Amino acid sequence: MTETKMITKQVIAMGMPFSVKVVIAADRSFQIMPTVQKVTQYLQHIDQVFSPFRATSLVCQFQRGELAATDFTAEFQEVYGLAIRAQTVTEGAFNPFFKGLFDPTGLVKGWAIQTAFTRYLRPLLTNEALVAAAINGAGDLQTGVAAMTSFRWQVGVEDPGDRRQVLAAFQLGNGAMATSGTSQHGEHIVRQDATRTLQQATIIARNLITADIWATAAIELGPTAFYRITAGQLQSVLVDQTDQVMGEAGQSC
Amino acid sequence: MKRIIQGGLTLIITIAMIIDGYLLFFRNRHVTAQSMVQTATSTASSSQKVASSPSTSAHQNYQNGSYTGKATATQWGDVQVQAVIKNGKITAVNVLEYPNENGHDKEINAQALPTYKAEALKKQSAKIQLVSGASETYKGFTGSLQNALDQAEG
Repeated sequence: MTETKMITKQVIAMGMPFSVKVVIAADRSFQIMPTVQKVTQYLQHIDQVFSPFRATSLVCQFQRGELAATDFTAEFQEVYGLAIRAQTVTEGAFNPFFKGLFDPTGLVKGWAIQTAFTRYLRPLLTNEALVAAAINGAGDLQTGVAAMTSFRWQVGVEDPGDRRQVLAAFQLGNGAMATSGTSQHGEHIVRQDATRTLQQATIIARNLITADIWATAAIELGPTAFYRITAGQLQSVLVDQTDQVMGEAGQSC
Repeated sequence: MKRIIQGGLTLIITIAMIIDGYLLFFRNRHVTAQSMVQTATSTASSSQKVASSPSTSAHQNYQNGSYTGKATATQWGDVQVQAVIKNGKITAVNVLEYPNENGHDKEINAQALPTYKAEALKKQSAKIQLVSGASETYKGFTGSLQNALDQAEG
């Protein structure tokens, strides 16, 4: 395998940090900024449209019953459809409604990263400019590699007890990984049975929308219901409230 | 004869261009009018004086009723949404779902190979390039391993 080098650019969007990474052959150069700018502009646009914290967003207008018929955009339709579909496949564990009002926040970041990756990074993998590319948005990531490369992303799962350490690591080619935790909702729940509830759930899937909604659903479901519903078809790393780590397909990680 | 055909063609093309230009202009004007009134109505909620402006032309195209959007392909099959519109505003959205060909969400992933045993991870973390975690804030990120790795790369 030829020598490679990695270029990383961090950007802030949606009030969160995003890392855009590309891998190129060591003897080549690549101007990452035009791509990073497109990704950033897209993420900012999505924030304007879907943020539940912006009164002018389509989501907030819809919540108030003020969304104009002319704003029933393809984007809005896609997110609404995905959100309801996600609710169905997770048997309601992923809930796109907050206090009865439509709030797709749990899906929008993963969807936006996956879409940005597909639009702005995936095409670069087919024109020989890049060996590999990835976007990591505050811990939810989509990766890709060029068809002929043996390069694989080394992806770690954060240890919820020590955020400078990883619990497990995986090689990803074209794939996605998302992690949810109980702490991110700002709630501290006293669990009666600590082995049946999760403090962190990581899902590995082909695309980030799937990984993201199942990570959220796993926290809601707990390990038993999660394994039952997904029937072993999703690769996961689950951490229960006793810090016990459950690896995918019965393997220790 | 050739001249007549040429002249006739020129005339037809000219007429076509005029019609096209008219349609384009008309359409543009129409869209502009729509978006202008739309802006007016979105400010109406906070300012009463705008609220009295008539909402005639803007919502002509959207009579009360249901409007179905285009189907979107998702990993769980096609999905199509339908807006229920009253007075130019969306009062509800219905989702028309189509069954997934596979019957259930299939996401079998043989591609992600676990690389290290837990004991070895502390020594190996230098090789990690991406970290998946649950922190959602910028403040949380600054103390994360991903941030440390990004900085180390320069």
